Amino acid sequence: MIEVFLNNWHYLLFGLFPNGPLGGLALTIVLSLIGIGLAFPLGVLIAICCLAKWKVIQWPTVMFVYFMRGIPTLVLILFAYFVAPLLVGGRIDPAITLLAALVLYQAAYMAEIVRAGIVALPKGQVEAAQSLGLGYWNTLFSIVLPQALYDMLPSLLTQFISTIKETSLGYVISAQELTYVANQVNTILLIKPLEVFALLGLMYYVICFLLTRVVKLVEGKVGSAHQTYFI
Amino acid sequence: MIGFDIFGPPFSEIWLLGAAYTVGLTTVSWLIAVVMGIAIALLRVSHRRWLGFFGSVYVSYQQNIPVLVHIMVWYFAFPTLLPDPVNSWINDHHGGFIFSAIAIGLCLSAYVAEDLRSGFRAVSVGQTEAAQSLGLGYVTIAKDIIVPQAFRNALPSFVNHSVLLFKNTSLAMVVGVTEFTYTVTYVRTATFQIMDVYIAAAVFYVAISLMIMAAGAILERRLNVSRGMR
Repeated sequence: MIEVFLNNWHYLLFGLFPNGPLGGLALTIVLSLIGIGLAFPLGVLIAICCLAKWKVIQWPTVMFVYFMRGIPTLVLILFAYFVAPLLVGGRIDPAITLLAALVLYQAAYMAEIVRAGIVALPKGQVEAAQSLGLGYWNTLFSIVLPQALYDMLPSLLTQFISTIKETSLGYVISAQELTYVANQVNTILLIKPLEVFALLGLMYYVICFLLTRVVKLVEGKVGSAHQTYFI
Repeated sequence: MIGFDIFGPPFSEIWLLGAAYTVGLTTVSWLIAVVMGIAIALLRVSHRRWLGFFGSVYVSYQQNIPVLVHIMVWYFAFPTLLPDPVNSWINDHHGGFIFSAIAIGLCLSAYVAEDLRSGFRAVSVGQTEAAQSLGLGYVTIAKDIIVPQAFRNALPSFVNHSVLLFKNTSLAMVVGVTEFTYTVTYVRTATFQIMDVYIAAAVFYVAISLMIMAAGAILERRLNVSRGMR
């Protein structure tokens, strides 16, 4: 396993990078970071729409969320991969397709988290803001969202971890991320599937495990902030 | 639209076969997930430290690696450890199906175990104390007081993870299991009706996911799960 890594570390970590597009673990992480960065504001927006009083806004967004929760990520990615070129009228890089599909998917899940966070806030917060004469947007942006988002920090980080894991589906549409690159290495070596796939699993494990530790730390911080708040 | 009818005679049986494989794969891996999930949850709440440690290592192994990689490890890497006769037997008996059912089932069992454990922990100590002060024995307390409440607490996220398991069966396509997503790919290459086949796929998956969610909601109402407690 170590030998496989030492012989292929540059390809596994960066793909063909200096001579070609970025790939491997670096692409996995870049895609997850951009993905979560775009999905987060979109998710907040969807959550606000889901909680809106006007049915015209509420219904389509609620349907969108249910649709995204019901469809497998793989089907969404394949759909984007084959349909997007028809709409745009040209070839699209698989990495971009993967990113677009993941953003839509994660935004729906993010929206559910944000919605739960907003609903979980004590009702007194909104009532107090309204009795101080704050309007809808003021209440939302200076009272509700800051508190809700702070409480949700751990779940948002968990969502980041799940995005990292979901980029592995890029393999199916040959986006050059870690799983795809590892499969290429496997095809080249041919006789060492055990070593290659154990290494692949280990790489995902290390990254996701470290991030779950971070989530634990943040959870502690958020929890202790609550305790002092209530005293 | 002029062109092939994607549900027409040559394809209608293929669609049905794909749907049957998806349902079968979901059922088998769900059973694996539930049985292993209960076992791991029992390890994690046990008083013996090393059993709990083993449980947490298992959960972190299953949760920190993507399902697709689990499937690849089981299908491509694991068979190299088996003797040849066993391998050829497995290959003759739907190897892709067996290994992806194991991979998906075991991966989701970690989530099920965590659901059950947090459901168990959400039952307050007062319940046990009250039962003890009423003179109930250990088995009665576990069977009639703790487990029903723990199960009710765990139900909402258990339903979510069942939906996740169902959706993850689509990944078995990668190792050549002829489930629904594989069927979609097949009909797409045969007819080039790209839009139509993917709309059919979306309708199929969303419909069944919604059915699982609805079944969960009905069960929750039956058991009076208070959603505010989560």
